[in-house]
Amino acid sequence: MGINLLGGIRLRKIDNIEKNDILEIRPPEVYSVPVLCSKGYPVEITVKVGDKVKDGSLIAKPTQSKGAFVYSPTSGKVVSIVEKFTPVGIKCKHVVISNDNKLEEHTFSEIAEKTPQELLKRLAVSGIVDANYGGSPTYLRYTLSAIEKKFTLYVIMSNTDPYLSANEALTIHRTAQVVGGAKYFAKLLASEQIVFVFTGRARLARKTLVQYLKKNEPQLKYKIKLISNNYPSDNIALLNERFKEKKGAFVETFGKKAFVEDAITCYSYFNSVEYGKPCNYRTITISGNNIIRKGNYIVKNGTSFGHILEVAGVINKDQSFKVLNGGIMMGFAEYTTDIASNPETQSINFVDDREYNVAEESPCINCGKCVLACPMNLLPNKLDDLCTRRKTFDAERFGIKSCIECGCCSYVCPSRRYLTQRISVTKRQLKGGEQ
Amino acid sequence: MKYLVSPAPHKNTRQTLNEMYIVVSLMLVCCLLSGYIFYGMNVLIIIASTLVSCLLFEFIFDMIKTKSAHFPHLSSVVTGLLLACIMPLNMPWFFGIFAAAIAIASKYFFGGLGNNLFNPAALGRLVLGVISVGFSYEYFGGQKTALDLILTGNKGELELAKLFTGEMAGAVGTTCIVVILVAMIVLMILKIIRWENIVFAGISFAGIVWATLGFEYILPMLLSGSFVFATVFMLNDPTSSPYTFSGRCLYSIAYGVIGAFVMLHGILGETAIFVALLICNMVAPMFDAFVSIFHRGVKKND
Repeated sequence: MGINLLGGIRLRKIDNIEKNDILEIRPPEVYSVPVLCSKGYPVEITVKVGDKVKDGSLIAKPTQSKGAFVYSPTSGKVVSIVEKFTPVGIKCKHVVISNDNKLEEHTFSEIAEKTPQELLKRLAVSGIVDANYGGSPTYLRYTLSAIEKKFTLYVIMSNTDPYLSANEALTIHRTAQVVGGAKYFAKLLASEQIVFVFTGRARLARKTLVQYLKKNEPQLKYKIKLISNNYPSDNIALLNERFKEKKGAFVETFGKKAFVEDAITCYSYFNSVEYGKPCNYRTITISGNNIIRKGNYIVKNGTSFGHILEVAGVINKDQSFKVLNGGIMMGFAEYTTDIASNPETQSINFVDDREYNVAEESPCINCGKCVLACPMNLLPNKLDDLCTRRKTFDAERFGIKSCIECGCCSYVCPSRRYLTQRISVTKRQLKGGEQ
Repeated sequence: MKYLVSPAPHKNTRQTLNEMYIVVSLMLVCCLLSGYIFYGMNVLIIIASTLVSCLLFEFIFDMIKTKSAHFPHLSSVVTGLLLACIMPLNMPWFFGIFAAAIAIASKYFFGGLGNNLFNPAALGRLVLGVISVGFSYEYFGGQKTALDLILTGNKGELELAKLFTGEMAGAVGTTCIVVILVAMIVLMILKIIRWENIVFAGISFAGIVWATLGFEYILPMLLSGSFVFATVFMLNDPTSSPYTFSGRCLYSIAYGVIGAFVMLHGILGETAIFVALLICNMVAPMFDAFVSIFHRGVKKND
């Protein structure tokens, strides 16, 4: 997006799984659907134990103006409602539904006239949740005052994390749906042109998209922007922090207000507008160096990690390994597989310690590699020093709050200092002090 | 089944501190090998005295500091080899022990690895030079060092080819420029040393020489007086140099200017460049403090 990154790190892409087609994962016998998005907006469960549900029927709706609609991932029977942890460690209610394999579907009614107001209504009820914006529902960003203001739409089509290729795979294999979804978003905003954002190395996806647009959409005004291959250059938090106009809402680029979506959201939005399919699934990259069937899968909401692990197959079962919710750099390591994927799960990785060579923490030698790597223009070594000495006030003066916890400093450190870890703990302490 | 739990990130580089020290040590061994070829057995005595005493003093100070001696890092090996490289040829072996003691003590008095203000090897060499100025760098046949020849006005006796190959009088490991340049390329590829240090130091040094002596003196001056060695191996010492990019630029410019000034107007000869280095080490934290105001994170608009 023409943003000059000050730092970032170069991560080698390990395997090109985006070239393989997107598959649907084998349905499990029981789904346990979390009725919460990660920010914790309250929702009301509309089904009772023993109710029959169809694939796509409503099981929870928001009580306030915030919060997401939750739809059933399968046709079957509600077995129980239990309290469990979500992948990011928040306790919430889960609706447990047993699968009866009848494939009965419930869809939205067709939109007769696709006006921006109708499209916005559909976006609100579709249940689409952003993984990028910290798990808040997408419709919250599209307020009535924001639509039809000719803001530019940016669509992120590929990621820099080596274990995140769902966007790229959707661009290659579901080009029509992704472009269609982007067009609906553009209609919502009345934007004059769509900007497709690619990392430099996503050549196949770029070629596929350009060929598709030339053949099928000759009137569409579009532009292709290349961003750096360095790791956090596609981070929404980074873009937002830099060009923020209003919190979480706009990204201002080249003096114009803009909206940023990704290919996954576009795909889900197209399906919900065109076919009336509620968003009870998400395209997830299942990868890692300890797994056999790597690939991009369409995973239904509420599929447990244990089932995914069973389907994908582990190479080395005896050795202990990590189960990551998210990419390799910012992912959340799970202590159990008895948790369910939800619409904000970006990728699930099963990695063993070959990725991370464990070494004892040795003293900082002030080499300055972390300073060069930091994309937010901070001094991680200085912050680390201040955090160990518990000088939180000084750390705040050195801009600790603008850290996005991308992990670049810990990645490059030859002394194996726990830079990101210490900084994030201090950040949380500061946050707690304010409230 | 057990799952490992740890905070993000779950990936890191392969390069560790000890690997960096091993690579630098190997490069220094190459420099010392070239010294052995030109100067003979005496070099081995120097290496033995500095390296063994550096390891010994590291062991002792580590025991005092941590109450249980363990070698967590190989920095003392690098210090010992660096000291050997910058020693004069006729140095008695016990002076090597003395210099090593000063070097390691200077590191531990400030708090151990990563906290030393001065480059240990440069400090050890300088203290030695102050105590006894009677060391000679003479090559067999009574040949003077390249710097002496330039400063006494006998530039005509210099042969540029010999300056490159290192068949000259000088400190043990610093004369063979070809080996040092190869080491520089290797270290740059492995991202152990920074290009901005070398480029800015070279440019500022050459600029001062051009202004005072003239254009034809630039290359001989750059290749003499341990300048290349000190720039590649000691200016890039991460601990005693600034950690910000702009700080490093200012630091290396200051090093080049002060180095040229001390070499041209002083009587210190081969040790002149270490005086410049120590002066710059002293002010390196200030360079960081100057530029740290630009590293306060990306400003929020609200």
